[in-house]
Amino acid sequence: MIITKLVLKNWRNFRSASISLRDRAFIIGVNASGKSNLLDVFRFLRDVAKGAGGGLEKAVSDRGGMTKLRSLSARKDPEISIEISVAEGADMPEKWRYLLGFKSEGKGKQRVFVTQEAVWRDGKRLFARPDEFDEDDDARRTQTYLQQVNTNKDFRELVEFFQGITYLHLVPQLLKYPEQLGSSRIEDDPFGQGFLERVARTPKKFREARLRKIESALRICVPQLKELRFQQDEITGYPHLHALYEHWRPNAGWQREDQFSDGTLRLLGLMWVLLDGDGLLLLEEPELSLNDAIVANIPSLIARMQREAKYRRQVILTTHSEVLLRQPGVGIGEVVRLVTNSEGTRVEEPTERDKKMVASGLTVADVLLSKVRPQGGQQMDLWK
Amino acid sequence: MTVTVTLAIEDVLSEAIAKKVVSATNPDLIIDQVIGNQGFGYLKNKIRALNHAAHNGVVTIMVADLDDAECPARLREEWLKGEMHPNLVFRVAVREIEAWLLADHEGLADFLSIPRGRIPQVVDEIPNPKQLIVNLARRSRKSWLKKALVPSNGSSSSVGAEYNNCLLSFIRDDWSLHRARARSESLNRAFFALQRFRPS
Repeated sequence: MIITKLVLKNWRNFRSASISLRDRAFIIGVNASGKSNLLDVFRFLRDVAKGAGGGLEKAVSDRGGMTKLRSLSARKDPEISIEISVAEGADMPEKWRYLLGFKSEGKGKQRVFVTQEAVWRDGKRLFARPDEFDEDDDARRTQTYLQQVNTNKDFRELVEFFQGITYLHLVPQLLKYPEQLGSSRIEDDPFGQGFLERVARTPKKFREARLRKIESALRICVPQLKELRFQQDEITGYPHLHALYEHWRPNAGWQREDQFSDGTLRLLGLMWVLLDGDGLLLLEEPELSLNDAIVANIPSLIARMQREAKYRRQVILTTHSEVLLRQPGVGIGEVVRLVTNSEGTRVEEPTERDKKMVASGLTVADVLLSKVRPQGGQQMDLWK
Repeated sequence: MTVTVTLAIEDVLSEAIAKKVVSATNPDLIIDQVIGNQGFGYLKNKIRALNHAAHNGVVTIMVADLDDAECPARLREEWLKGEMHPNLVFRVAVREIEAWLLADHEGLADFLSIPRGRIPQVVDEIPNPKQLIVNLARRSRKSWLKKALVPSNGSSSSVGAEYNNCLLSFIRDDWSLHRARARSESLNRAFFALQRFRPS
Protein backbone atom coordinates (compact mmCIF):
# COMPACT_ATOMS: atom_id res chain seq x y z
CA MET A 1 0.00 0.00 0.00
CA ILE A 2 1.12 3.55 -0.58
CA ILE A 3 0.08 6.97 0.65
CA THR A 4 -1.57 8.75 -2.24
CA LYS A 5 -2.71 11.96 -0.61
CA LEU A 6 -1.91 14.04 2.42
CA VAL A 7 -3.84 17.06 3.68
CA LEU A 8 -2.33 19.14 6.47
CA LYS A 9 -3.56 21.98 8.62
CA ASN A 10 -1.28 23.94 10.96
CA TRP A 11 1.38 21.21 10.89
CA ARG A 12 4.71 22.92 11.61
CA ASN A 13 5.31 25.32 8.71
CA PHE A 14 2.35 24.07 6.68
CA ARG A 15 -0.64 26.21 7.53
CA SER A 16 -2.63 24.45 4.89
CA ALA A 17 -1.36 22.00 2.29
CA SER A 18 -2.59 19.21 0.08
CA ILE A 19 -0.06 16.86 -1.46
CA SER A 20 -0.47 14.04 -3.97
CA LEU A 21 2.08 11.26 -3.81
CA ARG A 22 3.12 8.36 -6.04
CA ASP A 23 5.37 5.30 -5.57
CA ARG A 24 8.38 7.57 -5.41
CA ALA A 25 8.31 11.15 -4.22
CA PHE A 26 11.21 13.57 -4.32
CA ILE A 27 10.67 16.52 -2.01
CA ILE A 28 12.59 19.64 -3.01
CA GLY A 29 12.70 23.19 -1.69
CA VAL A 30 15.13 25.84 -0.45
CA ASN A 31 16.73 25.43 2.97
CA ALA A 32 14.22 25.67 5.82
CA SER A 33 11.26 25.26 3.49
CA GLY A 34 9.93 22.32 5.51
CA LYS A 35 11.17 19.23 3.68
CA SER A 36 12.04 17.40 6.89
CA ASN A 37 8.87 18.66 8.57
CA LEU A 38 6.91 17.03 5.79
CA LEU A 39 8.67 13.70 6.35
CA ASP A 40 7.99 14.13 10.04
CA VAL A 41 4.22 13.83 9.49
CA PHE A 42 4.68 10.20 8.53
CA ARG A 43 7.03 9.54 11.43
CA PHE A 44 4.48 11.20 13.70
CA LEU A 45 1.72 8.86 12.53
CA ARG A 46 4.03 5.93 13.06
CA ASP A 47 4.77 7.10 16.60
CA VAL A 48 1.07 7.53 17.35
CA ALA A 49 0.24 4.11 15.92
CA LYS A 50 2.95 2.40 17.93
CA GLY A 51 0.65 1.82 20.91
CA ALA A 52 2.94 0.67 23.72
CA GLY A 53 5.78 3.17 24.00
CA GLY A 54 4.01 5.47 21.59
CA GLY A 55 0.66 7.15 21.32
CA LEU A 56 -0.47 10.70 20.68
CA GLU A 57 0.76 12.29 23.87
CA LYS A 58 4.25 10.81 23.54
CA ALA A 59 4.49 11.64 19.86
CA VAL A 60 3.63 15.27 20.62
CA SER A 61 5.91 15.60 23.64
CA ASP A 62 8.82 13.95 21.79
CA ARG A 63 8.53 16.82 19.36
CA GLY A 64 8.65 19.49 22.03
CA GLY A 65 4.92 19.87 22.64
CA MET A 66 2.08 21.57 20.80
CA THR A 67 3.78 24.96 20.64
CA LYS A 68 6.59 23.48 18.55
CA LEU A 69 4.24 21.52 16.32
CA ARG A 70 1.59 24.05 15.55
CA SER A 71 2.28 26.30 12.58
CA LEU A 72 3.60 29.74 13.47
CA SER A 73 1.40 31.19 10.80
CA ALA A 74 -1.70 29.58 12.28
CA ARG A 75 -3.93 32.39 13.47
CA LYS A 76 -6.81 31.72 15.84
CA ASP A 77 -7.35 28.07 14.96
CA PRO A 78 -5.57 26.01 17.67
CA GLU A 79 -6.10 22.66 15.96
CA ILE A 80 -3.55 20.64 14.01
CA SER A 81 -5.04 18.16 11.58
CA ILE A 82 -3.65 15.44 9.36
CA GLU A 83 -5.66 13.58 6.76
CA ILE A 84 -4.10 10.77 4.83
CA SER A 85 -5.31 8.52 2.00
CA VAL A 86 -3.86 5.09 1.37
CA ALA A 87 -4.35 2.96 -1.74
CA GLU A 88 -2.92 -0.19 -3.29
CA GLY A 89 -1.15 1.89 -5.93
CA ALA A 90 -0.70 5.37 -7.33
CA ASP A 91 -3.75 5.53 -9.58
CA MET A 92 -5.90 3.13 -7.60
CA PRO A 93 -9.02 4.03 -5.63
CA GLU A 94 -8.57 5.03 -2.02
CA LYS A 95 -8.61 2.05 0.32
CA TRP A 96 -8.12 3.69 3.67
CA ARG A 97 -8.48 7.25 4.86
CA TYR A 98 -7.42 8.43 8.27
CA LEU A 99 -8.17 11.81 9.81
CA LEU A 100 -6.68 13.06 13.03
CA GLY A 101 -7.19 16.49 14.58
CA PHE A 102 -5.78 17.50 17.93
CA LYS A 103 -5.14 20.56 20.04
CA SER A 104 -3.98 21.62 23.43
CA GLU A 105 -6.56 21.28 26.21
CA GLY A 106 -6.31 25.03 26.73
CA LYS A 107 -6.41 24.89 30.53
CA GLY A 108 -4.98 23.06 33.53
CA LYS A 109 -2.50 20.39 32.58
CA GLN A 110 -2.59 21.39 28.89
CA ARG A 111 -3.10 17.80 27.81
CA VAL A 112 -3.22 17.03 24.12
CA PHE A 113 -6.85 16.45 23.12
CA VAL A 114 -8.17 14.62 20.09
CA THR A 115 -10.56 17.06 18.43
CA GLN A 116 -11.53 14.74 15.62
CA GLU A 117 -10.60 11.27 14.48
CA ALA A 118 -12.12 9.16 11.75
CA VAL A 119 -11.32 6.18 9.55
CA TRP A 120 -12.84 5.34 6.17
CA ARG A 121 -12.51 2.01 4.41
CA ASP A 122 -13.35 1.96 0.70
CA GLY A 123 -15.08 5.30 1.15
CA LYS A 124 -17.24 4.12 4.04
CA ARG A 125 -16.72 5.75 7.39
CA LEU A 126 -16.04 3.27 10.19
CA PHE A 127 -16.28 5.76 13.06
CA ALA A 128 -16.04 9.43 13.83
CA ARG A 129 -14.90 11.11 16.99
CA PRO A 130 -15.70 12.84 19.25
CA ASP A 131 -18.44 10.36 20.08
CA GLU A 132 -20.76 10.02 23.08
CA PHE A 133 -18.07 8.25 25.15
CA ASP A 134 -15.73 11.17 24.67
CA GLU A 135 -18.44 13.53 25.96
CA ASP A 136 -18.70 11.48 29.15
CA ASP A 137 -15.02 11.09 29.84
CA ASP A 138 -12.44 13.77 29.10
CA ALA A 139 -9.50 11.44 29.60
CA ARG A 140 -10.55 9.37 26.58
CA ARG A 141 -9.78 12.36 24.42
CA THR A 142 -6.08 12.13 25.22
CA GLN A 143 -5.82 8.91 23.22
CA THR A 144 -6.45 8.12 19.60
CA TYR A 145 -8.32 5.02 18.52
CA LEU A 146 -5.34 4.37 16.27
CA GLN A 147 -3.06 3.60 19.22
CA GLN A 148 -5.39 1.27 21.14
CA VAL A 149 -5.68 -2.41 20.26
CA ASN A 150 -9.26 -2.64 21.44
CA THR A 151 -10.43 0.26 19.28
CA ASN A 152 -8.33 -0.30 16.16
CA LYS A 153 -9.42 -3.87 15.47
CA ASP A 154 -11.39 -2.94 12.35
CA PHE A 155 -8.54 -1.07 10.74
CA ARG A 156 -5.54 -3.03 11.95
CA GLU A 157 -4.16 -3.14 8.42
CA LEU A 158 -3.84 0.64 8.43
CA VAL A 159 -2.30 0.64 11.91
CA GLU A 160 0.32 -1.86 10.80
CA PHE A 161 0.97 0.17 7.69
CA PHE A 162 1.77 3.20 9.84
CA GLN A 163 3.86 1.09 12.21
CA GLY A 164 5.92 -0.19 9.30
CA ILE A 165 7.17 3.25 8.29
CA THR A 166 10.98 3.47 8.24
CA TYR A 167 13.01 6.65 8.43
CA LEU A 168 16.69 6.92 7.56
CA HIS A 169 18.94 9.86 8.16
CA LEU A 170 22.18 8.26 9.15
CA VAL A 171 24.53 10.70 10.86
CA PRO A 172 27.91 8.96 10.70
CA GLN A 173 29.31 10.82 13.72
CA LEU A 174 26.52 9.51 15.95
CA LEU A 175 27.36 6.01 14.90
CA LYS A 176 31.08 6.42 15.23
CA TYR A 177 31.27 8.27 18.54
CA PRO A 178 28.17 7.36 20.56
CA GLU A 179 30.00 7.41 23.91
CA GLN A 180 31.75 10.71 23.36
CA LEU A 181 28.58 12.39 22.18
CA GLY A 182 26.60 10.93 25.05
CA SER A 183 23.52 11.13 22.91
CA SER A 184 20.41 9.47 24.13
CA ARG A 185 19.23 6.91 21.66
CA ILE A 186 16.10 7.56 19.69
CA GLU A 187 14.13 4.41 19.26
CA ASP A 188 13.40 3.27 15.74
CA ASP A 189 15.08 6.22 14.11
CA PRO A 190 18.30 5.03 12.61
CA PHE A 191 20.22 8.26 13.05
CA GLY A 192 23.17 6.37 14.39
CA GLN A 193 23.57 3.57 16.86
CA GLY A 194 19.95 2.60 16.26
CA PHE A 195 21.00 1.51 12.81
CA LEU A 196 23.38 -1.14 14.12
CA GLU A 197 20.67 -2.40 16.46
CA ARG A 198 18.39 -2.69 13.50
CA VAL A 199 21.00 -4.85 11.82
CA ALA A 200 21.45 -6.86 15.03
CA ARG A 201 17.70 -7.53 15.36
CA THR A 202 17.53 -9.07 11.92
CA PRO A 203 17.56 -12.88 11.98
CA LYS A 204 21.01 -14.22 11.16
CA LYS A 205 20.03 -15.88 7.91
CA PHE A 206 18.53 -12.71 6.42
CA ARG A 207 21.29 -10.57 7.83
CA GLU A 208 24.01 -12.64 6.22
CA ALA A 209 22.24 -12.75 2.88
CA ARG A 210 21.69 -9.00 2.93
CA LEU A 211 25.27 -8.23 3.91
CA ARG A 212 26.51 -10.36 0.98
CA LYS A 213 24.31 -8.37 -1.43
CA ILE A 214 25.44 -5.06 0.07
CA GLU A 215 29.04 -6.20 0.02
CA SER A 216 29.01 -6.84 -3.71
CA ALA A 217 27.19 -3.58 -4.47
CA LEU A 218 29.46 -1.64 -2.15
CA ARG A 219 32.57 -3.04 -3.81
CA ILE A 220 31.73 -1.08 -6.93
CA CYS A 221 31.80 2.17 -4.96
CA VAL A 222 34.60 1.28 -2.52
CA PRO A 223 36.95 -0.86 -4.62
CA GLN A 224 39.35 -1.80 -1.78
CA LEU A 225 36.52 -3.39 0.22
CA LYS A 226 36.76 -7.17 0.30
CA GLU A 227 34.35 -8.42 2.93
CA LEU A 228 31.64 -7.18 5.25
CA ARG A 229 30.93 -8.94 8.53
CA PHE A 230 28.58 -8.45 11.45
CA GLN A 231 29.79 -9.21 14.98
CA GLN A 232 28.45 -8.76 18.47
CA ASP A 233 31.05 -7.65 21.00
CA GLU A 234 31.52 -10.61 23.35
CA ILE A 235 31.92 -8.50 26.47
CA THR A 236 29.67 -5.49 25.99
CA GLY A 237 27.20 -7.11 23.64
CA TYR A 238 27.32 -4.08 21.33
CA PRO A 239 26.68 -4.85 17.67
CA HIS A 240 29.44 -3.94 15.24
CA LEU A 241 30.10 -4.05 11.54
CA HIS A 242 33.53 -5.01 10.32
CA ALA A 243 34.94 -4.57 6.86
CA LEU A 244 38.00 -6.15 5.40
CA TYR A 245 39.98 -3.85 3.18
CA GLU A 246 42.60 -4.99 0.76
CA HIS A 247 45.97 -4.63 2.40
CA TRP A 248 49.46 -5.84 1.70
CA ARG A 249 49.42 -7.67 5.04
CA PRO A 250 46.72 -10.33 4.98
CA ASN A 251 44.15 -9.96 7.79
CA ALA A 252 45.56 -6.59 8.80
CA GLY A 253 42.86 -4.71 6.99
CA TRP A 254 39.87 -5.35 9.27
CA GLN A 255 38.15 -2.13 10.29
CA ARG A 256 35.21 -1.48 12.59
CA GLU A 257 32.38 0.92 11.69
CA ASP A 258 34.01 3.76 13.61
CA GLN A 259 36.81 3.66 11.04
CA PHE A 260 34.53 3.57 8.00
CA SER A 261 34.36 6.71 5.93
CA ASP A 262 31.19 8.84 6.25
CA GLY A 263 30.25 7.98 2.68
CA THR A 264 30.68 4.23 3.20
CA LEU A 265 28.52 4.33 6.30
CA ARG A 266 25.75 6.33 4.68
CA LEU A 267 25.74 4.12 1.63
CA LEU A 268 25.64 1.04 3.81
CA GLY A 269 22.69 2.45 5.73
CA LEU A 270 20.88 3.32 2.52
CA MET A 271 21.38 -0.13 1.03
CA TRP A 272 20.31 -1.81 4.25
CA VAL A 273 16.99 0.01 4.53
CA LEU A 274 16.27 -0.58 0.86
CA LEU A 275 16.48 -4.30 1.53
CA ASP A 276 14.85 -4.20 4.97
CA GLY A 277 11.12 -4.06 5.64
CA ASP A 278 8.25 -3.53 3.26
CA GLY A 279 6.64 -0.33 4.53
CA LEU A 280 6.91 3.29 3.52
CA LEU A 281 10.55 4.36 3.45
CA LEU A 282 11.54 7.94 4.28
CA LEU A 283 15.02 9.05 3.25
CA GLU A 284 16.57 12.32 4.30
CA GLU A 285 18.97 13.68 1.65
CA PRO A 286 20.39 10.30 0.60
CA GLU A 287 23.01 12.10 -1.52
CA LEU A 288 24.99 13.40 1.47
CA SER A 289 28.71 12.47 1.54
CA LEU A 290 28.39 10.49 -1.67
CA ASN A 291 30.21 10.86 -4.95
CA ASP A 292 27.96 12.10 -7.77
CA ALA A 293 28.45 8.91 -9.74
CA ILE A 294 26.96 6.98 -6.82
CA VAL A 295 24.15 9.50 -6.29
CA ALA A 296 23.22 9.00 -9.93
CA ASN A 297 22.48 5.37 -9.08
CA ILE A 298 20.09 6.11 -6.20
CA PRO A 299 16.87 6.52 -8.25
CA SER A 300 17.42 3.26 -10.08
CA LEU A 301 18.41 1.45 -6.86
CA ILE A 302 15.10 2.57 -5.40
CA ALA A 303 13.17 1.51 -8.50
CA ARG A 304 14.89 -1.87 -8.45
CA MET A 305 14.09 -2.33 -4.78
CA GLN A 306 10.45 -1.48 -5.49
CA ARG A 307 10.34 -3.96 -8.32
CA GLU A 308 11.78 -6.76 -6.18
CA ALA A 309 9.74 -6.03 -3.05
CA LYS A 310 7.05 -8.51 -2.19
CA TYR A 311 4.59 -5.72 -1.51
CA ARG A 312 4.43 -2.36 -3.19
CA ARG A 313 6.79 -0.17 -1.26
CA GLN A 314 6.74 3.60 -1.35
CA VAL A 315 9.79 5.83 -0.98
CA ILE A 316 9.62 9.49 -0.04
CA LEU A 317 12.88 11.38 0.03
CA THR A 318 14.13 14.91 0.44
CA THR A 319 16.93 16.12 -1.78
CA HIS A 320 18.97 19.05 -3.05
CA SER A 321 20.75 16.95 -5.61
CA GLU A 322 20.77 17.92 -9.25
CA VAL A 323 22.47 14.66 -10.18
CA LEU A 324 19.73 12.64 -8.52
CA LEU A 325 16.88 14.48 -10.22
CA ARG A 326 18.34 14.58 -13.69
CA GLN A 327 18.31 10.80 -13.98
CA PRO A 328 16.15 9.48 -16.78
CA GLY A 329 12.99 8.00 -15.36
CA VAL A 330 12.41 10.70 -12.76
CA GLY A 331 9.04 12.14 -13.71
CA ILE A 332 7.73 15.62 -13.04
CA GLY A 333 4.74 14.14 -11.20
CA GLU A 334 7.08 12.51 -8.69
CA VAL A 335 8.51 15.79 -7.46
CA VAL A 336 6.92 17.70 -4.59
CA ARG A 337 8.16 21.28 -4.66
CA LEU A 338 7.87 23.35 -1.50
CA VAL A 339 7.63 27.12 -1.67
CA THR A 340 7.75 29.43 1.33
CA ASN A 341 6.30 32.82 2.05
CA SER A 342 5.22 34.71 5.15
CA GLU A 343 2.12 32.48 5.40
CA GLY A 344 4.27 29.36 5.72
CA THR A 345 4.99 26.67 3.17
CA ARG A 346 2.91 25.79 0.14
CA VAL A 347 3.21 22.84 -2.18
CA GLU A 348 3.57 24.08 -5.72
CA GLU A 349 2.22 21.91 -8.51
CA PRO A 350 4.17 21.89 -11.79
CA THR A 351 2.81 24.45 -14.24
CA GLU A 352 1.74 23.68 -17.81
CA ARG A 353 4.94 25.40 -18.85
CA ASP A 354 7.05 23.10 -16.67
CA LYS A 355 5.34 20.08 -18.19
CA LYS A 356 5.93 21.35 -21.73
CA MET A 357 9.61 21.84 -20.98
CA VAL A 358 9.97 18.30 -19.67
CA ALA A 359 8.02 17.00 -22.67
CA SER A 360 10.50 18.86 -24.90
CA GLY A 361 13.42 16.91 -23.49
CA LEU A 362 14.59 18.90 -20.48
CA THR A 363 15.05 16.98 -17.23
CA VAL A 364 13.06 17.49 -14.05
CA ALA A 365 16.24 18.87 -12.51
CA ASP A 366 16.56 21.49 -15.28
CA VAL A 367 13.01 22.65 -14.88
CA LEU A 368 12.24 22.40 -11.17
CA LEU A 369 15.53 22.74 -9.31
CA SER A 370 16.08 26.11 -10.94
CA LYS A 371 12.96 27.23 -9.10
CA VAL A 372 14.21 26.21 -5.67
CA ARG A 373 17.36 28.24 -5.79
CA PRO A 374 17.47 31.00 -3.19
CA GLN A 375 15.76 34.10 -4.59
CA GLY A 376 17.64 35.56 -7.50
CA GLY A 377 20.48 33.09 -7.12
CA GLN A 378 22.38 35.87 -5.43
CA GLN A 379 25.83 35.43 -4.04
CA MET A 380 26.27 35.45 -0.32
CA ASP A 381 28.15 38.26 1.30
CA LEU A 382 28.85 38.52 5.01
CA TRP A 383 30.78 41.75 4.99
CA LYS A 384 28.56 44.36 3.48
CA MET B 1 0.83 41.87 -21.67
CA THR B 2 3.51 40.21 -19.59
CA VAL B 3 5.29 37.09 -20.78
CA THR B 4 6.91 34.48 -18.54
CA VAL B 5 10.45 33.80 -19.62
CA THR B 6 13.12 31.19 -18.91
CA LEU B 7 16.63 32.53 -18.84
CA ALA B 8 19.36 30.12 -19.95
CA ILE B 9 22.87 31.26 -19.10
CA GLU B 10 26.45 30.01 -18.71
CA ASP B 11 27.26 31.41 -15.29
CA VAL B 12 26.20 33.81 -12.56
CA LEU B 13 27.77 36.82 -14.28
CA SER B 14 25.78 36.30 -17.47
CA GLU B 15 22.71 35.75 -15.30
CA ALA B 16 23.14 39.07 -13.53
CA ILE B 17 23.85 40.95 -16.76
CA ALA B 18 21.01 39.30 -18.66
CA LYS B 19 18.53 40.09 -15.90
CA LYS B 20 19.57 43.72 -15.93
CA VAL B 21 19.38 43.94 -19.72
CA VAL B 22 15.98 42.25 -19.90
CA SER B 23 14.35 44.37 -17.20
CA ALA B 24 15.77 47.61 -18.64
CA THR B 25 14.78 46.76 -22.20
CA ASN B 26 11.43 45.07 -22.14
CA PRO B 27 9.45 45.30 -18.89
CA ASP B 28 6.84 42.88 -20.27
CA LEU B 29 9.28 40.00 -20.00
CA ILE B 30 9.14 38.40 -16.56
CA ILE B 31 11.98 35.99 -15.78
CA ASP B 32 10.43 33.14 -13.89
CA GLN B 33 13.20 30.62 -14.07
CA VAL B 34 16.95 30.53 -14.60
CA ILE B 35 18.60 27.41 -15.96
CA GLY B 36 22.22 26.60 -16.72
CA ASN B 37 25.02 27.98 -14.59
CA GLN B 38 27.13 25.07 -15.79
CA GLY B 39 29.13 26.63 -18.58
CA PHE B 40 28.55 26.54 -22.33
CA GLY B 41 28.37 22.73 -22.56
CA TYR B 42 25.06 22.68 -20.74
CA LEU B 43 23.50 25.29 -23.03
CA LYS B 44 24.80 23.53 -26.13
CA ASN B 45 23.28 20.33 -24.81
CA LYS B 46 19.89 21.83 -24.04
CA ILE B 47 19.40 24.17 -26.98
CA ARG B 48 17.48 21.62 -29.05
CA ALA B 49 15.13 20.82 -26.17
CA LEU B 50 14.61 24.54 -25.55
CA ASN B 51 13.93 25.11 -29.24
CA HIS B 52 11.42 22.29 -29.14
CA ALA B 53 9.81 23.85 -26.08
CA ALA B 54 9.72 27.18 -27.94
CA HIS B 55 7.47 25.53 -30.54
CA ASN B 56 5.12 24.69 -27.64
CA GLY B 57 5.03 28.27 -26.45
CA VAL B 58 7.83 28.25 -23.88
CA VAL B 59 9.77 31.51 -24.22
CA THR B 60 13.50 31.33 -23.52
CA ILE B 61 16.25 33.91 -23.62
CA MET B 62 19.66 32.32 -23.93
CA VAL B 63 22.91 34.20 -23.49
CA ALA B 64 26.15 32.46 -24.42
CA ASP B 65 29.76 33.47 -24.94
CA LEU B 66 31.20 33.37 -28.45
CA ASP B 67 34.57 32.24 -27.11
CA ASP B 68 36.66 30.90 -30.00
CA ALA B 69 33.85 30.46 -32.50
CA GLU B 70 34.08 32.43 -35.71
CA CYS B 71 30.93 34.53 -35.40
CA PRO B 72 27.53 34.39 -33.63
CA ALA B 73 25.69 33.11 -36.69
CA ARG B 74 28.14 30.25 -37.06
CA LEU B 75 27.87 29.40 -33.35
CA ARG B 76 24.09 29.29 -33.61
CA GLU B 77 24.28 27.01 -36.61
CA GLU B 78 26.78 24.73 -34.97
CA TRP B 79 24.74 24.39 -31.78
CA LEU B 80 21.25 24.02 -33.15
CA LYS B 81 21.71 22.53 -36.61
CA GLY B 82 18.26 23.67 -37.65
CA GLU B 83 15.74 26.47 -37.67
CA MET B 84 15.48 28.51 -34.49
CA HIS B 85 11.95 29.22 -33.34
CA PRO B 86 11.26 32.93 -32.70
CA ASN B 87 10.29 32.13 -29.08
CA LEU B 88 13.90 31.25 -28.43
CA VAL B 89 16.01 34.37 -28.30
CA PHE B 90 19.67 33.43 -28.58
CA ARG B 91 22.14 36.23 -27.89
CA VAL B 92 25.88 35.88 -28.05
CA ALA B 93 28.38 37.97 -26.12
CA VAL B 94 31.48 38.66 -28.23
CA ARG B 95 33.76 37.09 -27.10
CA GLU B 96 32.85 36.70 -23.47
CA ILE B 97 30.25 38.23 -21.18
CA GLU B 98 33.10 40.17 -19.53
CA ALA B 99 33.32 42.24 -22.73
CA TRP B 100 29.91 43.66 -21.86
CA LEU B 101 31.32 44.69 -18.47
CA LEU B 102 34.36 46.27 -20.10
CA ALA B 103 32.07 48.16 -22.43
CA ASP B 104 30.99 50.38 -19.54
CA HIS B 105 34.34 52.21 -19.46
CA GLU B 106 33.41 54.80 -16.89
CA GLY B 107 31.71 52.36 -14.55
CA LEU B 108 34.37 49.67 -14.64
CA ALA B 109 37.37 52.04 -14.53
CA ASP B 110 35.94 53.72 -11.43
CA PHE B 111 35.11 50.38 -9.86
CA LEU B 112 38.58 48.98 -10.53
CA SER B 113 40.16 52.29 -9.68
CA ILE B 114 42.22 52.51 -12.89
CA PRO B 115 42.51 55.25 -15.56
CA ARG B 116 39.65 55.07 -18.12
CA GLY B 117 42.06 55.13 -21.05
CA ARG B 118 43.33 51.65 -20.24
CA ILE B 119 40.20 49.92 -21.57
CA PRO B 120 40.14 49.38 -25.37
CA GLN B 121 37.52 51.33 -27.31
CA VAL B 122 36.08 48.42 -29.27
CA VAL B 123 35.43 45.76 -26.70
CA ASP B 124 34.06 43.14 -29.10
CA GLU B 125 37.57 42.85 -30.52
CA ILE B 126 39.23 41.97 -27.21
CA PRO B 127 40.40 38.36 -27.62
CA ASN B 128 40.20 37.40 -23.94
CA PRO B 129 38.04 39.84 -21.97
CA LYS B 130 38.15 37.83 -18.73
CA GLN B 131 41.92 37.87 -18.73
CA LEU B 132 41.86 41.59 -19.48
CA ILE B 133 39.71 42.31 -16.43
CA VAL B 134 42.13 40.35 -14.24
CA ASN B 135 45.10 42.18 -15.78
CA LEU B 136 43.45 45.55 -15.27
CA ALA B 137 42.79 44.61 -11.65
CA ARG B 138 46.53 44.02 -11.19
CA ARG B 139 46.99 47.76 -11.76
CA SER B 140 44.20 48.70 -9.39
CA ARG B 141 44.93 51.27 -6.70
CA LYS B 142 42.73 49.25 -4.34
CA SER B 143 44.74 46.40 -2.89
CA TRP B 144 41.68 44.45 -1.69
CA LEU B 145 40.36 44.43 -5.23
CA LYS B 146 43.63 43.10 -6.54
CA LYS B 147 43.49 40.27 -4.00
CA ALA B 148 39.89 39.49 -4.87
CA LEU B 149 40.20 39.41 -8.66
CA VAL B 150 43.76 38.27 -9.33
CA PRO B 151 44.71 34.60 -8.78
CA SER B 152 47.32 34.02 -6.10
CA ASN B 153 50.80 32.94 -7.17
CA GLY B 154 50.95 29.32 -8.16
CA SER B 155 47.19 28.98 -8.61
CA SER B 156 46.06 27.11 -11.69
CA SER B 157 42.95 29.26 -11.90
CA SER B 158 42.90 32.19 -14.28
CA VAL B 159 40.91 34.37 -11.88
CA GLY B 160 40.96 35.22 -8.18
CA ALA B 161 38.84 33.40 -5.61
CA GLU B 162 36.32 36.24 -5.27
CA TYR B 163 36.13 37.05 -8.97
CA ASN B 164 32.41 36.29 -9.38
CA ASN B 165 31.21 37.89 -6.15
CA CYS B 166 33.25 40.97 -6.77
CA LEU B 167 31.99 41.51 -10.32
CA LEU B 168 28.43 40.70 -9.27
CA SER B 169 28.48 43.65 -6.92
CA PHE B 170 29.77 45.79 -9.77
CA ILE B 171 26.95 44.66 -12.06
CA ARG B 172 24.37 45.22 -9.36
CA ASP B 173 25.49 48.66 -8.23
CA ASP B 174 27.44 50.36 -11.00
CA TRP B 175 27.14 48.79 -14.44
CA SER B 176 25.13 50.84 -16.91
CA LEU B 177 23.51 49.17 -19.89
CA HIS B 178 23.26 52.42 -21.80
CA ARG B 179 26.88 53.39 -21.39
CA ALA B 180 27.93 49.84 -22.26
CA ARG B 181 25.87 49.30 -25.40
CA ALA B 182 27.51 52.29 -27.01
CA ARG B 183 30.78 50.39 -27.07
CA SER B 184 29.69 46.79 -27.65
CA GLU B 185 28.12 45.82 -30.93
CA SER B 186 26.94 42.44 -29.59
CA LEU B 187 25.31 44.03 -26.53
CA ASN B 188 23.66 46.68 -28.67
CA ARG B 189 22.22 44.01 -30.95
CA ALA B 190 20.96 42.08 -27.94
CA PHE B 191 19.30 45.25 -26.70
CA PHE B 192 17.41 45.84 -29.94
CA ALA B 193 16.49 42.18 -30.33
CA LEU B 194 14.91 42.17 -26.88
CA GLN B 195 13.18 45.47 -27.47
CA ARG B 196 11.59 44.17 -30.67
CA PHE B 197 10.85 40.77 -29.23
CA ARG B 198 7.18 39.73 -29.35
CA PRO B 199 6.65 36.04 -28.50
CA SER B 200 4.19 34.09 -30.60
